[in-house]
Amino acid sequence: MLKPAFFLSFIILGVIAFVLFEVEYRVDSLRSQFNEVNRELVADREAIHVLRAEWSYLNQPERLKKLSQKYLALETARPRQIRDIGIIPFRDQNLAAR
Amino acid sequence: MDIKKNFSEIFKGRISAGVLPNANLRVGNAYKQALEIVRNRLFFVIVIFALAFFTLGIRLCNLVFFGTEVAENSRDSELAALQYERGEIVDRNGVLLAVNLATGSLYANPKQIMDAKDAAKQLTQTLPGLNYSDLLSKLSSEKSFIWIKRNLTPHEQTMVNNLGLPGLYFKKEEKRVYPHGRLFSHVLGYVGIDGHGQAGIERQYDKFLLEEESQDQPLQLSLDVRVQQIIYQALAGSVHEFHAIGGTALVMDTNNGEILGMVSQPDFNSNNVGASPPLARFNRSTLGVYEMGSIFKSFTLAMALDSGATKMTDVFDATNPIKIGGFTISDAHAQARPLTLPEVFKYSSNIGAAKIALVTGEKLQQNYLKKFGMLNALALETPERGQPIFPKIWRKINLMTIAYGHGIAVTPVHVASGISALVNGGVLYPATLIKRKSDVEIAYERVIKKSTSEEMRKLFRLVVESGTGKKAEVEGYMVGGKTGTAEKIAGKGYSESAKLSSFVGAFPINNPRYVVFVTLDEPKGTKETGGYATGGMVAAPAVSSIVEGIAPVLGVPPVGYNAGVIKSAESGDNNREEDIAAYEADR
Repeated sequence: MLKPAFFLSFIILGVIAFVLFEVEYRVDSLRSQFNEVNRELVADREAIHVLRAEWSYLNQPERLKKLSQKYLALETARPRQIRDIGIIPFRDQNLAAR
Repeated sequence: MDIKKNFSEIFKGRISAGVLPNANLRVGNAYKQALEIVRNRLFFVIVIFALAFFTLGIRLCNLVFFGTEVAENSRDSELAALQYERGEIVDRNGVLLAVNLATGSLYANPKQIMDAKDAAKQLTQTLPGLNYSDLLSKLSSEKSFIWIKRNLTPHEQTMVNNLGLPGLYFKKEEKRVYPHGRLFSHVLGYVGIDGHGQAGIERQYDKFLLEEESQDQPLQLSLDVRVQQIIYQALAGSVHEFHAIGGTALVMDTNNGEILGMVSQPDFNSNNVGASPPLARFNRSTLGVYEMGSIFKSFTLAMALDSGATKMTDVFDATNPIKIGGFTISDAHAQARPLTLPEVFKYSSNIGAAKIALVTGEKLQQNYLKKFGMLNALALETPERGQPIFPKIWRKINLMTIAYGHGIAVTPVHVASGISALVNGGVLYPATLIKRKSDVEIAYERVIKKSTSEEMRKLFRLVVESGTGKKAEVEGYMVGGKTGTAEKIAGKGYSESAKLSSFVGAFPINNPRYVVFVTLDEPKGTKETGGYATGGMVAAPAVSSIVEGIAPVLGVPPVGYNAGVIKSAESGDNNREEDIAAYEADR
């Protein structure tokens, strides 16, 4: 009577122990993966932080003005270049028909 | 208990089965005693094991049902969060103005340094700004900790690491960095070595910037980096051209009091404050109080018109200078004839303004100046706030000189706020350096009537159209404004050579959106200005170039030449001769 119950519980114990260790190892490896990703995340965030400061530095209006003068033939828009869209007449219908 | 029972039965069985059948009574007693001891010991061991398994069982249940607690407690699984000691400051469009960056500070343990001479030599070659003999004496000392250099750039850190010297270490530190250098020097202020703000916004908002919530929500200023650059260039150019000892420029939104740009010359590099003299750290825009000269005539005329003391058509005799108590009030652009009220403004007549003030009286002048905010300490988000200077006892002479801006000293921000109120329809908004939230209603105060504001706009336009401020005109943007040339106090009297020349302009004057104010401290006239260093000659051109630069940036459309243009106070006013004739007849 006692023996089969004893063996059954022994087998269950063995299976549980095996599964427990398996899970434990999986958790361990996931945790180290998580930490690895986390470290990368911190490094990337730090890099983004520095790059944002650099972006602001590189966008100094003074510097952009110099670059624009060097590479682009653009100048500040004069008031006379700005007109209300309403004053541009529509295309002549008769002209368009031709 | 079952097991215990079993054991005792087994032993009992053995005894009764006669394992030791010939044992006499004495031996049998000793045997019984031994058996008793063994039984007790076994019982003890069994209890211990039972307790141990019971504890394990409890723990197991605990893990199964409340298992998350374990994961939360493990330190290395925390989610990455990047924390800096100080929050960021950004401009109104989110451009970064101040930020903390991680740096490494180099230190050494001299006890671990093998060859101090060699180490000192290599370090001085790698890092600029180190002194060989200083470093050598530090490295050969008996201490176990010495600073070598603070806040190294990542590049410098790599170079030091590449030297491969033992005994050198880096300590992770943070440094406040201002990507725009000098551009915002006085506005932002700076941070001391302890990480606390020492001036400007950094000091005013020190507590907020050190709080954790400022990590996700940067402090957003009302300033615009593009506007700041334009006024910085214009002011620096004018200060240089006219050999001024200093100056200020600021741009204010007339309809909410936001300051879009504010500079003060001389200035300093926020990243290297120690390199500039203390004088350069003085914020002339907010802390400096100056007698503003003729710009105050704007307030004099506004109060005279608003209170009904005078009308636009009234005439004031400016033929002769006024002599009062050994003091003479005369005109710089003397017309030596009776002037209408708009003419008083157009030619910037001191005599005319003094006479207008006589009509209003001391009490009214005080009340209005108080309403315009000219008698209160500056209210602005900066620790450098100027306190206006004005007479304690308001005599008749004070009444007359204050009418044209002498005998009262205020900060440039006071003037910009006051002029905004005169042109925006008559309400005074508190000046601010922090961007206003669109959903929060701004508390304002009505200081003059809407109709008076309309008249003031016409008067301001007149000055630029045909008066002392012609050089402020920008084609298409309808600038209106007022010149100011104040003699600075030298010893007991006023100096004729040392002037504070300024111009305050608003554009487009038919519906003003921005006020631009420029002052130059002790400018010298040049050949181009005919030797004059007046506000109309030196400050008005700077305002003109500022308006030309910022109008497209701020999206102000040019004013159509025929549509919605307000006429200046004089144009279309053909009855000037009649007004003067009527005035002559009255006398």
